[in-house]
Amino acid sequence: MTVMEETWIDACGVADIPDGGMHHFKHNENWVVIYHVDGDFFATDNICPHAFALFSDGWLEDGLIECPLHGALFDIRTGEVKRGPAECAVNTFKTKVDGDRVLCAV
Amino acid sequence: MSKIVIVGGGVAAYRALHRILELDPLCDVTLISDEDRPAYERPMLSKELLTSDKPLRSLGVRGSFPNLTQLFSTRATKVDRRQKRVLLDDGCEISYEKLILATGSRPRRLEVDNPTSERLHYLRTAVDAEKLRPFLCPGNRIAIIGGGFIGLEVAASARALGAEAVVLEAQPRLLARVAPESLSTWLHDLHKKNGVDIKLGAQVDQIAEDPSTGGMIVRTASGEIPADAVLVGIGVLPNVELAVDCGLDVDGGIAVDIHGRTSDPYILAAGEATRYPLERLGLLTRSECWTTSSDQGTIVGEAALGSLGDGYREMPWVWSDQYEASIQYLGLPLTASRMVTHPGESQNAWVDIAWDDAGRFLGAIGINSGRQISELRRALRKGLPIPAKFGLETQATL
Repeated sequence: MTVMEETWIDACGVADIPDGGMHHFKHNENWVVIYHVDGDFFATDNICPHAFALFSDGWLEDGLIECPLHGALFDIRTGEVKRGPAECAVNTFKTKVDGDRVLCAV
Repeated sequence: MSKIVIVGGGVAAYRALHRILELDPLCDVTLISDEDRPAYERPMLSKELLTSDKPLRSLGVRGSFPNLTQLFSTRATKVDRRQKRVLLDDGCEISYEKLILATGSRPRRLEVDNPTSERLHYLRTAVDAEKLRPFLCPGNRIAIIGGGFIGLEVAASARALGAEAVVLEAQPRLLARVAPESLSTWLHDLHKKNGVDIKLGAQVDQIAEDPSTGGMIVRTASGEIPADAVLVGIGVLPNVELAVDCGLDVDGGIAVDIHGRTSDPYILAAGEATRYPLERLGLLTRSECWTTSSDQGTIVGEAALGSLGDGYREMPWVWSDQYEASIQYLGLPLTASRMVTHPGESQNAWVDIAWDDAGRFLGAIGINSGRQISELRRALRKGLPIPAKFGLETQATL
């Protein structure tokens, strides 16, 4: 069994994402979006697992991100599907705040 | 244990089935479908399934349920309400305690069609798509009768695959039945730019096989269009015959309340065959809408087990993907008396927002504007006014 080591990368500044906002970036093969909700930061893949669309173009409300293309709804904390058409969860990534920076484990 | 019978094999039927099995995994439930497989994402048929190698995404049941029976390629022919049983085309009878009708729609047939030809296509099922796909290749020309969503999506798929596409629309503009002129014009330009030949006001008189080429000829008043295949996409008809024959209230669709209850306390219905209330708007409507069918299916699944929640309070919301464009259609914008176009967040993006004289928000159409449509959908569902950011001081009369 291979255990992938987490790599913490500096994703953005805390001040870069207003509350309720998103910031997206690409790191190697990962397209990642970071969400700011009430002072907490969460991260998922930025590409919807249902069809190609970016969550960073979607609607974030009540801790749920809605895909802009077909309306699939996901919990940004767990990645769980809350409403189809998607059938599988979206990947999530750990985040942490270090000073005024948001770090993300990819 | 509750004996539930579901007639239908589309998304409404399967969402109902999923919900029933989620709430009661031991439920005695039988699903009767005239298709040859469990439900799948029907929106893929005119798009990804034609243009890519992506497999059809199934909505079938995962896991083992001891009292579940799924009958495929089987048609329900009659509902006997007095004895609470469903008759099947193989002569069998199945009794029910609760019946769910999720019979969906079927393509409207062209009066002058030519049903014996393998080159004449309709598009409703996976089998239909599998038959159509080989004709969409470079060097082939496909004639598409009907400039509605299905026809235009197939035109876009044909162009993506290198085939020529000719769209014949009887009305003076595309999508005349469901869209305002702004969307018709925008789609017309989009398809022209992508090389689709669009013929408006083109009434089809005849579809014939051309023995000299082995192809087809579509005859209209203004000329003949030779084609390697013909797709007819002129709308759908709700499958209400079972409901009519057994005496349920049917008015353009099977009449249901927000929980999917029909005029018979033992029969529920969901999906495209139903006419249901949009309580926020004070209207009754029938939707040809994947998301509505999906949500209603879940609700009637609960109701069949005796659990009545909030009922269906969403708004019809249709998406269509054509080329790189995302088209979204929310609520009932054509019932509005006023509509204004709001610029989108990016180039090639805009939103039409519609409301009536009383100031009620009724719907919207968005091009490449998923985020705004998401926000507007929430407002519409909750009965809120149009969000202030859309700045409607520039009102215009539709």
